[in-house]
Amino acid sequence: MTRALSAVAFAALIGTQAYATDFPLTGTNTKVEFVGTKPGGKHTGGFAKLDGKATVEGTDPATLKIDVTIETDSLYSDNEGLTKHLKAPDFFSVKDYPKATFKSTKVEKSATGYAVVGDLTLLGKTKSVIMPAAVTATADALTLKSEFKINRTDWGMTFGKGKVDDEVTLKVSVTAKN
Amino acid sequence: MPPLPPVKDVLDTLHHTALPAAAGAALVVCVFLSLGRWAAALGSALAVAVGFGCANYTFDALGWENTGRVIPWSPEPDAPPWHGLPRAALVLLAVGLVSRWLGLVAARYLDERRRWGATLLIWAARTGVVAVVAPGLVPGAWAVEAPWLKPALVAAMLGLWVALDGVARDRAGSEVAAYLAAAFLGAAAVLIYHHTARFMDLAVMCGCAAAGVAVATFPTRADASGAVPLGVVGLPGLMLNGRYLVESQVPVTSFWLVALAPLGLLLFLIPVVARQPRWVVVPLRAVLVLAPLVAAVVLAMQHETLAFEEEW
Repeated sequence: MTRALSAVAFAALIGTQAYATDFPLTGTNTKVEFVGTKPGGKHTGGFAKLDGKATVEGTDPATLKIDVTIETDSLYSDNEGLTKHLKAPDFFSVKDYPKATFKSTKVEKSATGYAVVGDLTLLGKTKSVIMPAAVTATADALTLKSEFKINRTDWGMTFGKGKVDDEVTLKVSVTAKN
Repeated sequence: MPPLPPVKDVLDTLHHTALPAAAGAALVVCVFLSLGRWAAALGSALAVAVGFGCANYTFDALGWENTGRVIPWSPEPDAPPWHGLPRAALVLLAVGLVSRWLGLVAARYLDERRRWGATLLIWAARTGVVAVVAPGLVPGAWAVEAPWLKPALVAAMLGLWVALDGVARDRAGSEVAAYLAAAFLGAAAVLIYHHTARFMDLAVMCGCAAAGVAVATFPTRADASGAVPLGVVGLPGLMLNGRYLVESQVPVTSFWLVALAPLGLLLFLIPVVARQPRWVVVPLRAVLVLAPLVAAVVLAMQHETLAFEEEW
C-alpha cells in the first residue's frame, strides 16, 4: 500500500514538473545590433555570427536561461570605414578579443515584461547588465525583444571619449525554434 | 596631397597628447639638470616616463584604477601583448640606468686592460632583460605562425639599444632623443594611414616625450642616453602589434622601415667612421635615420588613404 502511494505521489510530482526546452541561438535567429551616437550623428551596426542556446522550462519566461558567444570579427556597420575602425584596438580589438559572451544569471518579472540579468563579457572584462525584455515561450518557439543601453567605458572601451558618446544602445531580437 | 586632419582632431591631439608629453618630459629634464650634468641620464629616463604618463593620464576616469587614457598602466591577466608595452619600457629604462651605474662602478675597480669587463657587464644585463621582455610583446597568433619572430624581436631590440646608446654616449644625447622623436612621429604617420588612432596616439606620446628631452638637453649637450630604452621597446613594439591588430593596405615594409630606422647608427660603432669630423658625422647620422622614415611614410601614403571620423 505504502509503495503504491509513493508511486502515485512520484508520478504526480513528475507530472507537475515542466520539462526544459533548448533553443539553439545562431546569427540567423538572433540579432544583436547596436546604435552608437556622437554629437550630431549616429551609426548602426551589429554582429552577424553568434552561437549559443536559450533554455526555458515549460512555457514560463521567468525560467529562461541564455548562454551565447558572439564572434566579434563578424561585426558590421552602416559604413565600411567605420566597420574597420570598430574592429581595431580603438574599439572592439577583435584580434585580441575574438569572442564576446553573455550568460544570464536570473530572470525576473517586471512591470513591462521581464528583466534578464546576466554577465556580459567584452574586451576580456565581465560586467553585470540588466536587459529589459519582452519574452514569449511556447513548447517549440521562443521570442525575445530587448532594447537597452550600456556604458562602453565600463568594459574599458574608452577611446574617442568626447567624440563618441559613452552610452551605446543595444537591440537584441530572438526568434528561435527548437 | 592627402587631406588634412580636421582642426578639432589636431587640437585634441595637441591638447591631450603632444603638449603634456613634451612639457612633462622637458620639465623633468630641467629639474634634474638643475642638480648638475651628472643627473642628466637619470633625468632623461624619468622624463620620458613622466612625459608618457602625463599624456596617458585621464581625469575623466570612472575610477582610480582606470586612469589610463590610451593604454592601461599595467596589463591585466590575459591582456593582449601590447598592453605590456608601458611596463616593458619601464623595466628597460630601469635596467638601462642600473646596468650603466654597475658598469661605472666596475670600471673603477678594473685596470685599463680589463675595462672591457665593465662593458660586458652592462650588455650582459641588458641582453638578459631584453631576452626576457621581448617575447612577451609578440602577439600570440604570430608567435605560433612564425617562431622566428621572438628571437628576431630580441635581436632587433638589442641592435637598436646598441646603436642608439653608442651615439648617445658620444656627446650626442639630445641628437639621439631627436632621432627618437622623429622615428616615433614617423611611426605615428604610418599608423594613421594604417587606421589605428590608438596606436598613433601612443606613438605621438612617445615622440613628443622624446622631443621634450631633446629640446631640454640641447643647450647643455647633456647626456640623454637614459631615454634610449623608450625607443628600444616602443618602436618595434608598436609597429609589430599595430601591424598585427589592424588590416590595411599599408605594406609591411613601412612597418619594418620605421621599427628599425635607428639601426643605421650601428655604422658609427666602427671607429674609422666615428672618428670622421663632426660636420660629416652629424648630417650622415641624420640622413641614415630619416631616410627610412621618409620612405616608410611615402610607401604608406601610396598604398592607403587617410580616413577621419568626420567621414563616417
